[in-house]
Amino acid sequence: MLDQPTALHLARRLSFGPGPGEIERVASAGFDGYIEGQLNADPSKLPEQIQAQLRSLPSFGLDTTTLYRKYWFKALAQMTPGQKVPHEQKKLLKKITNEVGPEARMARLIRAISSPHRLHEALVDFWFNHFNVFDNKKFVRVWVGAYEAEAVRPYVLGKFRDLLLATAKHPAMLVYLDNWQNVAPGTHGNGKKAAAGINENYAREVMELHTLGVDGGYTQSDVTALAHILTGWTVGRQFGAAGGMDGSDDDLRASLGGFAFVPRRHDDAPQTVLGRKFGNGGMKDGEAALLMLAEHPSTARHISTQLAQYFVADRPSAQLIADMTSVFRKTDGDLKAVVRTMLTSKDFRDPANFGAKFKTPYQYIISVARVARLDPMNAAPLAEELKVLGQPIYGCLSPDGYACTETAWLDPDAMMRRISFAIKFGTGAYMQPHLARAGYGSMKKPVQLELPAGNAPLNADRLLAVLGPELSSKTRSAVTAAKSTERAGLILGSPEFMRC
Amino acid sequence: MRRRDFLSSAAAFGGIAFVRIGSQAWAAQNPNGVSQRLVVVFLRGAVDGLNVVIPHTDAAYYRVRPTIGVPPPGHENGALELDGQFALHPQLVSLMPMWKDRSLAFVHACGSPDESRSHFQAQAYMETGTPGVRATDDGWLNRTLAALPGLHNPTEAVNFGPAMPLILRGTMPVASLPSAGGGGARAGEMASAPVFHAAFDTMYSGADSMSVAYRQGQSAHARLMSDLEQDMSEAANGAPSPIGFAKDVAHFCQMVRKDPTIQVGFFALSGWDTHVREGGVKGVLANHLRQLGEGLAAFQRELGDKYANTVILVVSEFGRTARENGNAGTDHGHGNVMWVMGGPVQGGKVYGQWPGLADEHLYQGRDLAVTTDFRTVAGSVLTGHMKLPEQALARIFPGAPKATLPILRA
Repeated sequence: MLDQPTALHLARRLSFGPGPGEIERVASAGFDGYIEGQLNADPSKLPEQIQAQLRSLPSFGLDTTTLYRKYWFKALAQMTPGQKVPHEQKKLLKKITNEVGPEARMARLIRAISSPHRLHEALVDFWFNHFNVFDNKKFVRVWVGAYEAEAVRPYVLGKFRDLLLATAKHPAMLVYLDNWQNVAPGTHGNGKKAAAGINENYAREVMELHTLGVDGGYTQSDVTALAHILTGWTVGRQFGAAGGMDGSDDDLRASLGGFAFVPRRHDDAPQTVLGRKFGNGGMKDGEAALLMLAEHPSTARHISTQLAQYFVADRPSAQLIADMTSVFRKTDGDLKAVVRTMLTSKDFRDPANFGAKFKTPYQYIISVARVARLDPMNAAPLAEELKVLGQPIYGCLSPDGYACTETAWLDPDAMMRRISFAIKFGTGAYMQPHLARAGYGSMKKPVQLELPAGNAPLNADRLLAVLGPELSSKTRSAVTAAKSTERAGLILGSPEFMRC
Repeated sequence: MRRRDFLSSAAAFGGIAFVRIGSQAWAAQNPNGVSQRLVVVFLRGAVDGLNVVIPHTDAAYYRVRPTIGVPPPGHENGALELDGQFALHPQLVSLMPMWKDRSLAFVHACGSPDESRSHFQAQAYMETGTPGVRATDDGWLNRTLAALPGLHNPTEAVNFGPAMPLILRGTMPVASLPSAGGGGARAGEMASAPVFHAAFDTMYSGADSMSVAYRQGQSAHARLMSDLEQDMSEAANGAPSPIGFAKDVAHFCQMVRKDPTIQVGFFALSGWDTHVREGGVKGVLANHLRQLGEGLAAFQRELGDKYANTVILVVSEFGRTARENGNAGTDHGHGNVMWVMGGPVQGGKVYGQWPGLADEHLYQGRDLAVTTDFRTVAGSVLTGHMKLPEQALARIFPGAPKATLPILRA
């Protein structure tokens, strides 16, 4: 049996905090047993109850192309016979479009709260952030869930290069960082009026954020060269002049709503990136350049540092980063091996790191839902709360994603908001206003919450049964001294529950 | 919460200097009974300064920007003439009264000496005030607070937004307010409900970072909320409801009118990373500029006589490429324009040395060069307006060039 502090540490860092019985399960699996179990789990195998909840979301599981054809209102309108789409139908199409994002957030919440594959969900949070896209930019609003499903989830314990290539080619990323409009100078770009040419947004961020890191040893000329190499990587669309692209392009039609490489928009001229020459290779040049980035020593170091910061400590030790970097390089970027090295490191097991990280709003909110045994189908209001706390799901505008450190999230107002939420949630007041009208997160779809007792305080004894070991004596005596209706709020707002 | 409740609950934090007295007493502490104020508005994402203050006499401008160039003054949808050399984007028309009353100035070709074109690194450097030095972990506005004389109360500096920005991080307490888009002003209200207050005070009584943040939060929240309750009714006094930034500005100004000890304000606005369809007279940038201009104009209107003692700096991490890119937008560049506004400003003038946009004058062949360090502008305001001595400035901007820009009225 694993000692309780270590079991709690595993449950906090790998699980978004313990749910009922969690500590005992972790303890009986043992340290290596639990970690290996999580590393080798098959994330496609979910309990039937969770699968049923996911199936209840109409757009869940649809691929990028289908979502584009079925849910993007302009594409839908285009396919409607007749020149003009009636106003009423337009409204309906927009409504459908607006349902996809909230459903994607629900799908994320359902699994973050109740999937048995705990580490997998933590890694999805980490890697989505690493390859962030913002859901309020054009088509990304219908693609964000498919992006996570197609480009992130399958690879979080696979090879880094596969993750990099999958995100690079995914329409959501192509649109979010503008590469879909990055075309060879002098060729036809976005609409006849616009000047055509290079857009270096993705080329820069893929080096700065996704791979090498800002100190990874690249220059402006590397950015520009890579942008040239990635010209012609775009998204298939079926728009006429009104939509921006000429509709005569067979390459684009063939891959409607999916990745498309358009040779005549590609600049095949010789380029040099990080000292290596490219040219005349078409799409292969772009793939080779990205693979080169994936294999670069700076990438191994950058990824190791970020993983360690999320899972181990805000300021990970040089030794830990060096060990992870070395494994990354030896295994050709095998993320399972890198994560295993991290979780079985001396640093991860160092009691000085137990409870030392300040939860991000996302980690905090999911931990509340888990300890409160909230039915994920009633979790929609929590997506609203994440907006108030500054970390809306899929809502990070800038490409670096959300930070995971205390300096980024701890400030006086953040404490007030968290504690305020803890009190409202603990006393049962939080869900009440959502009973009548709530959506899957934030947009328009109404859903009737089925709370057995919407306004009842959480049972503090049940919270204590799970969290008891992590509360300090100061917290315990404050809880004991309080009225029974106030206790749950005090527990959820306690200093120990703010940390992981 | 009423003032009386605030004072009694504040007494529970005995031993912390800033909660011993009420706001009127703080005001009295201030020498001369005057409170100078500095507001920084950070445009995150790198605003395209060349389309904000347009060098319309520089022939290269229209050559490198064939579709997004803003027409010169006198043309249809032309820019608004400033000084014969530069003109203002037409969507910033709400700032022209300030230009004409000479409380608005610009410093062109201004920016950081560091060449980074990374948003995040360049923002960090502009917030720490130490370009090129990674190790700095506090912000220059926080160091400014530390250098200001007198007692420091928890609402001396006010930040709008969900997280504390680097520019305000450091040893001095800073109050944070949710911006208009961030969940409503009362998001933290339950934390100060009396029935829970005492219990949480016990749990957060330590010297650790969370306890410190908690106490600052309770204290600031009590002060700001009591002001807000009155504001709600006053704000409805026939005024049109402003949106977004302008709303936050109005809120800030109301607070300042009530509590003159507020000396620093910080706002961050995003959406300036215009790689695609930035546009010229119309487009993404034009729309953002209109809202920004209206918000900035609200400072003068809402501050009333306090505008005379307030300087507002508008900064952004770097400028954008001189040439437009392939998508009627611009990529990451270098030099930019800095905006300086307020009663003490010697305005109606575009400061700085103009390097020109001809190819041979561009930084690394692509960007507007930097001829004025941003710390020269900020430093001149800190010494001339905030009355900080040279030694303090050396701690706020270590290693910066001399801050001798004559941008304030004598």
